[in-house]
Amino acid sequence: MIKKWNNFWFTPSTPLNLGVTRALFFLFIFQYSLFFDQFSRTWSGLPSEFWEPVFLISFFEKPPLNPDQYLGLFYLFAGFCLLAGIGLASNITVKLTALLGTLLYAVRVSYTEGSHDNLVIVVFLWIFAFSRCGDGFSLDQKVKKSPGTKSGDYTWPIKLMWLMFGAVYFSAACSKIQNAGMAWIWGDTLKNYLLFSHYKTDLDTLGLKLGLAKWMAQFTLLCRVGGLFTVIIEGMTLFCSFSKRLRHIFIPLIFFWHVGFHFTSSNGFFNMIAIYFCWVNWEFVLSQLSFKKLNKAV
Amino acid sequence: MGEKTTINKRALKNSFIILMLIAAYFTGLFEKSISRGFNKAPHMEHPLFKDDIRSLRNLGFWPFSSYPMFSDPYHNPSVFRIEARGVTSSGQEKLLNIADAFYPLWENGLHRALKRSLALGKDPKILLQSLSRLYHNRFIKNRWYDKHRDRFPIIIKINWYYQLWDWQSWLSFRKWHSSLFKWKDFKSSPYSPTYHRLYFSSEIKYD
Repeated sequence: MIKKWNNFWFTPSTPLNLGVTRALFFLFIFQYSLFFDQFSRTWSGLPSEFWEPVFLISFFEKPPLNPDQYLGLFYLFAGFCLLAGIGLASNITVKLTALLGTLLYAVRVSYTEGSHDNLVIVVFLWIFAFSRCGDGFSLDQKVKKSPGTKSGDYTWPIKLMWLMFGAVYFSAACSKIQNAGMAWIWGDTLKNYLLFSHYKTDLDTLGLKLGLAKWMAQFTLLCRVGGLFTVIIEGMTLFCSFSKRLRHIFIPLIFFWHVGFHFTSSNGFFNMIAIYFCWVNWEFVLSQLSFKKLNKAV
Repeated sequence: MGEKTTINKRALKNSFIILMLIAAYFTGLFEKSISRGFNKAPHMEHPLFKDDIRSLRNLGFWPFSSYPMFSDPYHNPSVFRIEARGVTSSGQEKLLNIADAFYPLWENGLHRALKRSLALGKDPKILLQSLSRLYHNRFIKNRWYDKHRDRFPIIIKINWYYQLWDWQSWLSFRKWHSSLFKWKDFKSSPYSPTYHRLYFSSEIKYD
């Protein structure tokens, strides 16, 4: 049992995979914060009557930051995301980014807002903070000229991200079964959500122009199959951590499902794209790319 | 000494992994049954949310959650809305777009906030009253908005309504809009909700 546990979490690997995942994750959050996350900038402008802190910051009886300070925190977080992304002094910057990001998003949800789109981002921030993610694919590595020897320290963070990713979608599938049961799996729930999303205004602009939700809602059977597949695909993500074959099937499926969801439903959780980077075998991808380059040069 | 440090480090990593796994999966599976406010929540009997099918989302275990978004059954679609109307000094009502006037709140966000405040034992009227203050400070005190009085009129109070639409009337009403990106006042349309009731009037205090 202990051997299996150690094999799963601590099989030695090079720092490259974790390093590329770190770079892409933080750079994605950086650009998302600057160009898409207009919401997070202004939460502190709401009246203090809305303040109902989440457990983690429940010691703040009143909002701890005024709107200007909060905006400052927002840009500081974005700046640190950039530094963590390029891997500059990553031992410090990644930890600080986790701290700033936690405060930023915790304050945001404490205005009784209730969004779920940044939760797993915070969890990922802390996994990076506790790992040696700056050892590969970073400016630090270039400066130190470290050889990138294999270690279990580069394996467990990726595996933990997989299982946290699985927890998100598996929990979502369980919630659907707990709250709606067959009404979700083989009912009109998905069809009605699609129609509802189309005729509201908070659907993605491109999604609304394309009219995918409205188009899909015309076909009852397609929507029922969609509902069934949603629960199956979400539920199966949990098992992807343990099987390469399942990973190859269900991770692309859940990715396409997520993108499709963004265009057909309100609140498309665009920022959660950041948690998909951990599934790619970057070492393999980069070796293929350099192999092709080498072939071309020859 | 070195070996002991390595063992300690490994124990620390294992503890971190186990804690994260327990927190994520325990919350994911059991949040609904252990969260305050999820079950028998006061909002269910409150007039503001009696006809609202969407269940309350708690964030008691933030940043872990059971991700209940879109998990409610949606059999006979109906649309429940909260509407804000500014009352001018001449007594006229003007529809306020919640996403414009009270950003970063939007209609659903305000909905959730009011629902969550009820579950936490707060009176939603306190929140609505505070939004009048926000409107005053943002759009009435700020002279820049004089140029945009069609969107942000000078008002003396905000009337908060709640309304329920049956699906067909709602679809017809939304199709009546020239663009789905816009909201128009249903009073200027040939369609009307099943009911449209005043919940609260929040005064705007002028210094």
